[in-house]
Amino acid sequence: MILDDLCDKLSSGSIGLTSGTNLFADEWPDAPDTAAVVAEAGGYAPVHAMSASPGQAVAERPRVQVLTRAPKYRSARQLMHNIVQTLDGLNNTTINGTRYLQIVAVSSPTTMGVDASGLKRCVCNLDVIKALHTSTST
Amino acid sequence: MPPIVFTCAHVLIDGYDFSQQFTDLEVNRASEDLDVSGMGSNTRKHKGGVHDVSITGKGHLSLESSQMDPVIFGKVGTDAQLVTAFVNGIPWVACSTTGGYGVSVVSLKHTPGGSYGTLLPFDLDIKAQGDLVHAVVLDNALSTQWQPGANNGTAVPLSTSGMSTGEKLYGGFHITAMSTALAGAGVTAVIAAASSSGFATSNTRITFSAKTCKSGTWATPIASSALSTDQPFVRAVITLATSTAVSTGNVASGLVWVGHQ
Repeated sequence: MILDDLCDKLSSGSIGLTSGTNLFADEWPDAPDTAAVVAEAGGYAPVHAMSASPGQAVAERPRVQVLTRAPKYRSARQLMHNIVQTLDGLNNTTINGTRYLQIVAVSSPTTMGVDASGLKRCVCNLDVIKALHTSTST
Repeated sequence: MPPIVFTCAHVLIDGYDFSQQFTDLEVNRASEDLDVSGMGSNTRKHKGGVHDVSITGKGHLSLESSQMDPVIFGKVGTDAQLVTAFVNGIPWVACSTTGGYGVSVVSLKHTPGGSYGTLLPFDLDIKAQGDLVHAVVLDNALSTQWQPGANNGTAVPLSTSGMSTGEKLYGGFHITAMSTALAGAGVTAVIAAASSSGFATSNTRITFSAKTCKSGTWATPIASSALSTDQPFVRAVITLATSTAVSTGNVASGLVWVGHQ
């Protein structure tokens, strides 16, 4: 699925993130303090063309939300910077067999305050244009 | 008929079905506006003049082999390309309801490119080189392919009252895919007419020469004087040459239509 793909892309990006260790798909484990999460966040309607059957959209346009946290805001912000630098502007890249036509940050990263544990948080949304996944994934 | 959500247009350009690359399609038929006003009249008077036909389309460009860009790029300025456009889907069985428009055209403009961040678009403009005809599908093998031997289409009552003086019979033949083993003898098609749907006896009205590759053919129109008014039923017979080299599994895809006006 898209979250697995993006986690894999970030894990291989040499930015200190490892999927399942300090990078997670749609869940916030209690530890570690410094970590990132990628979550689905809606997006836009898929793109269709003439005379296509159901399930044959030309492309889909999901939005993903990336969140980071750390004991210090500067650390959370730096981690978010590294993530956005890895994903924003990505074009025509195949990840795990699915073609990603474009990933663009909706805005610059912004603060999301402090969580219940007192960790500082940053957030950034990214719009994705991608080919449909196969029937065995989403 | 209730409003139609425009999702099911089909566009056949010679030997190619590019429907799923189009997002916009317009069939434009107009006539020149001649002013026949004279002194003494308080109202300007108009008269229809020569017809003009164009087909315009937009969509998502595909650069891959045999897709929109390489094919249309090579067709710009080339005469006598057969285009058949269906604005609300193709009838999956032959029927007398006109569902499409057929015309022999020249492609005049192919404009790929657009803004950053968009799905690479194209813009297509083609102009008629002859009459625009309401196309009645006689046999549609775009999904269920023609098999070796003779493939008899369904008999369609094209007219219940015969053809009027001045009308012509038109036909179009697209081959969008064919097995390589058929490239030798090719695929032929005829449009025949009969007095009843049983086609016990019939007359061939239009003969398409053998196609040995993907292509489209606009048949030379047949004048009504050469047709029989007591043969309102028409059907297509598509023949895939049978030989030792052409056996089961060698198939062809395409579409045959007829029209009269």
